[in-house]
Parts: sequence; C-alpha cells; structure tokens
Amino acid sequence: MIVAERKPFEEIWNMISHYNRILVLGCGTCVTICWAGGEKEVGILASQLKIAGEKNNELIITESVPERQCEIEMIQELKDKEGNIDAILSMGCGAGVQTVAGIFTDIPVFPALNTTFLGMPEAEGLWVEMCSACGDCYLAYTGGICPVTRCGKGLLNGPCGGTRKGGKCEIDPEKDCAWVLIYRRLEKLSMLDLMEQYREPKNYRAVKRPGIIRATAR
Amino acid sequence: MKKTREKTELSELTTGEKDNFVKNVLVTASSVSGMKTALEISRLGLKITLLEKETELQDNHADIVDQGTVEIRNSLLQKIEKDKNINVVSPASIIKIEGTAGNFSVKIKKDNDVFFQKYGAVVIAGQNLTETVPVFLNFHNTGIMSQQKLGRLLGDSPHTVSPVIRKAKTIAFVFNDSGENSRKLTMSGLKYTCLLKKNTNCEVYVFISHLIVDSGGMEKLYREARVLGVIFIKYNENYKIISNKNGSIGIAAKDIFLDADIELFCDILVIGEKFIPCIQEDGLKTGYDTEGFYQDANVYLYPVSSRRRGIYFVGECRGDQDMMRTNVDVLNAALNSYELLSGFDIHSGGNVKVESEKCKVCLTCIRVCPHQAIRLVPFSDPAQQEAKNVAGIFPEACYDCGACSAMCPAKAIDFEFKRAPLNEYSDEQILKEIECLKQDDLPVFCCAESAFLAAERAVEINLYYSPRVKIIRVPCIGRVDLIHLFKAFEQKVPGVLLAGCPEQACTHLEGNIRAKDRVKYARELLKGMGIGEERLGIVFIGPDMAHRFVREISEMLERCST
Repeated sequence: MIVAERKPFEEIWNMISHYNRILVLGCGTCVTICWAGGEKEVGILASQLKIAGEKNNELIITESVPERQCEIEMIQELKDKEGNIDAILSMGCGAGVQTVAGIFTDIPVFPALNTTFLGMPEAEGLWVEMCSACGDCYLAYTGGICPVTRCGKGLLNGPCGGTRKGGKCEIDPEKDCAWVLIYRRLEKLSMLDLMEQYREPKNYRAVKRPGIIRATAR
Repeated sequence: MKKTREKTELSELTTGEKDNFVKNVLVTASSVSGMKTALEISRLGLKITLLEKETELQDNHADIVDQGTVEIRNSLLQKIEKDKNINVVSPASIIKIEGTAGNFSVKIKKDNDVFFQKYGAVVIAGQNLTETVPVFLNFHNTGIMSQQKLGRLLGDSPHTVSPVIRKAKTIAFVFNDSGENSRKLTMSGLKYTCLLKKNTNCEVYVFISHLIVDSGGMEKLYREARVLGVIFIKYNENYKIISNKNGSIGIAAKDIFLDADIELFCDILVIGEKFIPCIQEDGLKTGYDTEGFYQDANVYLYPVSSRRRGIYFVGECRGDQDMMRTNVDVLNAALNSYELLSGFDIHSGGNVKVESEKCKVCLTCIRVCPHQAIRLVPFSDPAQQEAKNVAGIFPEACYDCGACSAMCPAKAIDFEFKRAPLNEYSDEQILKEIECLKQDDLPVFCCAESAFLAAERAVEINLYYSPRVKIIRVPCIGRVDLIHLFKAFEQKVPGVLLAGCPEQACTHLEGNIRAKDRVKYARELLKGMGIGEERLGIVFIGPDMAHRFVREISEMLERCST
C-alpha cells in the first residue's frame, strides 16, 4: 500500500492560512491504514486549524473522508460543495491530490501529506518501504527480496563489499543489508545458483513517465 | 427492588457467557506443577488434557530441587493414571493458541501430526531449562562443577559419596550467580552443604551476595548449615575465579563484613546453574518479562493470569519459582480456570463495539489490543451485498480499556454499554464533556482505576483543589485519543492533563505507555502551532495517592497560568 506522512503543521498553515472556508479531505484507503489521512487524522488537522485560526471569525473548516480520493466518481459526489469552500486541503496521496485538483477546477487544492513510498507495516505504527514501482520486477531472481528498493545502493549483482557485521548496511547500520537477506533466503531455498548469474544493467526506462496501463476487458 | 435488579443483572452476567464455553482445560506438564494443577482441576470436576513434551511425564528439575521430588512425582503419576478426568497426550506440544477465553482453539503438534482442539482454558506449567554458567567453558576439568553434578557425586548417604568429593578438603559454593532471588538454587545449595558436612570431613564455604531464606524450610536449613559449621561469606559486587601455580582454583571477592578483599583456594568450586526460559516460538502472544520468562511484569497479572483471559502460568515458566510458590500458583490456576468455565468469574468487559461498515481492515486494533480480544470476523454488508472480513471484538476476552478505540484511524470503534444508561466512555460522551469546558478550566483525564480513585479520595479526606479542575473519567488513559486533546485545546483551556496508573501497574497493561507516546506526539504537533509543551501534561499516580494527585494538578495549573 501507499505510505504517507503528514507534513509539519507550520508548512500546512503557511499554505492555507489566508483562506477562510477550508475543506479537509481525507482518504479512506491507503493513508487511513498508515495513520496519515483517515477520518481520525482529518479530525486532528481540522482541530489544529481551528485552534491556530481562532482569531479568524470567518474560518469554517469542513471535513470529509471519501472511500478513495483517487476515484473520479467518488470525488464527483463532493462537487456540490464547491461553492461553499475557498480551498481544499487534501490528506490523500499524490494521486489523490491530483484527482481532486482535476475535478475542483476553480479552487486551489493543497497537499497535507508527503507521499513517501510503497510499503508494509512491520509492526504497529512502523512502515517499511518494500517496492520502488520500477516497472521491471526482479523478485523472481532474488528470493522475493527487492534489491532495487531494500539495498541502500540499489545494486543488482550482489553486495557492495561494505556490509557490516551482523548483516547490516554500510550506509545505515540500523538497516539490514538486502543482499545478506537475499543470500540467506536463496540458501534456504537451495537456489544459490541464482547468485552467480549476471544481471544486465537495469532498464530504468521500462516505464516511461508518466506511466499508463491499459488493461483490456476481462 | 434495587437488590432484585442487581441479582438479575448478576445472573445475566454469570449465565450469559458460560453456556458456550468448552468445559475442559489443557495443561502442559513436564513438571510436578503441571501434574498437580491437573489433579486440582480434576477435583473441581472439569476434564483435563495433560500435554507432555517428552514421551512420558517427568520433571526437568528433579536434579536441582529435590524436596522428595521423586516420591512426589511417583505418587502424582499414580494418581493421574487412576484419574478418569485426565487424559495424557505425549509427546506433544502447543504451537499456537487461537480464540478467546472459553473457546480456545489450540494447535497441537503430536508426533508428526498437527491438529486443532477446543479448550476452555489453558494452563502453562513448568517450561524452563537450566544452563551452567558460561564460566565453565574456560575452566574445564579444574574442579568447578554445577550443583547438579555435585548432587550426583554426593548421593544421599555417607557410602554413596564419590571419591572425587571424598578427596577434597575445601569446597566453596557460589549461590547467586544465576541472577537475583534464585530460591531454588539457594535451597539445593544449602542442602548440599549440610550433606557435605554430615557425610565428609571437608571445610565448606559459601559465597553469597544476598541470601533469601523465605521459602518453606529454608530458614531451618540455613540454621542447620550454620550449626554444622558451614562458613558463609557475604561479598558485594562481583567475585572472580582465580588459580594459583599448583593449579588449584580459588575465588576472590570483597567481604562486606571484614571490608577486605579475600582469596580462598579450594579443591572444588560449586557454581549455581542459570535458569533460562524455554520458549522457542511464541504462539501464545501473552508477552514476557524482562528475562524472557512468561508473564509480563504487571501487578494486575499476578499471581497466574496472563494478558489473555483464560490462559494461566504456573510454576517454573514464570521464572525461578520454588515449590512453595509453585503450590500457590497451582491452586490459583485451578481456581481461576474453574471460575472461568463455571461462570463464577464475573467479567464486566465487552462494551466496545466495532462499526463494521466503517472498518478499513487496517489491523491496527488487532495489533494494539493488549488482551488479544480482537480478530477478523466475516461481515456481510447489506448495502454492498458482499462478505468481507472486518475486525470483531470478542466480549469474553475484552476488558473495556478502549486502546483500540483510541487507535482506530477510521474511527470505527467506540464504547456501547450493554446496560448502563450513560454511555460513559463513548466518544460522544467524552466530547460532550470537553465541550462543556470553560476558558479557564483544566481538564484532567483520569484513569478510572487509579487517578479517578485518587481524586475521589482527595474529596473524601477534604483536600482542597481548585474548582477550575474538571475531571473527565476514562477507563484507561490509553483511551484518550489525540482528537480529545485537541478538542480540549479548541475550548481555549490553559492546559490538559492526563493522569493514569504508574508504570507496570497499568490495569490494561500498556495503556499508560501508549498515552505517554501519544502525549509526546501531541506535544510535537502543538509545538508547531505555537502551544508550549508544558500545557500538555501526563502524570502517573496510584489510586491511593490523593495528596500527590492534588499536588500534581495544582502544579499543572501553576505551569499553565504563567
């Protein structure tokens, strides 16, 4: 899922402080799950805005949390609110912000989150990056552990040589060396011959930006 | 009239849940404590499955604590054989325990077979190993030995003493090497010193940092050892193992009473074993203490309860327990499981509900719940006409702490009391109470189990505190959501205070720690808004600390007003 993080309040306030009627728009999917933009976070941000703007008598904060911000139909339902708001503060991921901006053409849409990565929760409240969405998946050859994302240097042909004791990364001793993890896993699966195969330099243009996928009807 | 109502309520409470409960108990054995528990529960009329890791019932600790263990064990084995309520399964072990009190679904591995079995309660008894301290690795064949080895060499009469011991003139013991309060080792050590004095002619010295003689018969043993001429040396800090040119080993330590460093060379040095927990995989999800033994360090769990209602810990798995304490555990576990399964255990939890339509299946609540009371359950949405799995709270395991409610990012969990007219801890209620705050008020979120009682006590003993203080009762400060804090600040209050239980004494295990983290995060957010961190406070006080409560709130008021 997409993992995001809330921006510091100062930054949000600087964007939005000269608007009076603000819609704080959450999203009920990925960012709810990563505790960044669900109904609760929307409530907290709205409350913060109310406290910060307590001198502004005209300040009206409204809250809404559609199921998914990145769906045109779901945002279209909110279109009738457009006359009553001056700005939208989107608590969705980057895709959500842009979807909303595409529909609410007459008012500005600001992001309240920094969309950080694709990841999974390792423990309660701890998310780690797992996928870079590079568009050319290597996981078949690396025992299901992505070196593009989880190796600090994104190396495709084994570790860099700087691996620390205990299988930690040279760049950040708190992180595991992805290639140690890959080796251990392949060893367990008795697929170590994959380590010896040479991987061509990666085609980073597998997905041309912006990426578009057209799936045929199934 | 009132009494009748109370009675009916009570009977509702007691009959409601026990009807669905499975009336049998799973006990893991491999110790005297497990066997004893099984027999006790059998006496109360419940069916028991006794699970044994090894091929036959045995006790891992017979060598270390033999207080007639062999005889006890044999008599227990005979009793178990005759008992019709007890069914012994061996060799088998628990892999995982799913479900909630009264309806545990236990995954059991027997031989190469893995199967699920339903049990009403589970008693984990006796599961730890002993390990000789690492120092032995460096001193092989030098006369250093463990208590177990000494015990084997010594036998129990003058004729069985091995020549190795007979040759020795001086024997030194160190009791407390295996960490604190090792009552078992102290007891067996004292026993061996007495035996040595009686059956051989050697000098016996005992090095101790602190001697605990509160177990049954220990005081007597200690006196006997003193009378027989065992010399006790109390040292502080660490001792060192030394050796001289002749190759004999010795021990160097600082004697507290003489206030001098002493060295003692001896023929045999006996060092106590270390008990280590025998937990390979955690399928129980019940938490550990700091040393890795079962049962969290929390006063509300003592003596035998675990995080999960219906799972009990007895004896050695809780650490280094002596026989006296184990016996108390055995009775407690038997009584607890009987109360649970026969409906005498009045459980007042289960008032927290998930609004299934709003659940985003983020699993936050499942990870957060300290009692493992939340699982995914199928839910068919009438609007969407499709079945999906959403979080569901099992009332028989829930203790109404509200941790899930405070954490749910989709606001799908809230309190919904079954019979109270006031929906006291619901979001709506708390927010209403916050709305009623005036500009100068200091809202204090009080844990119902500690700070609220302290506040009540303060009123009882006529302690004055400012009428500006507005107390908001919550089941646990882990219930206080960030939004509650910010809504309070919206009312332009000078500050907000959270008051909960002291650390390791939270009725709901982690509520106070969670609240502490939340306050830390909220302070960061407030800082960004220009609100000083001194305006959000958190204190940890016990239910009887009325004076401290009053002091803390007046300090808080002072801090906020300046």
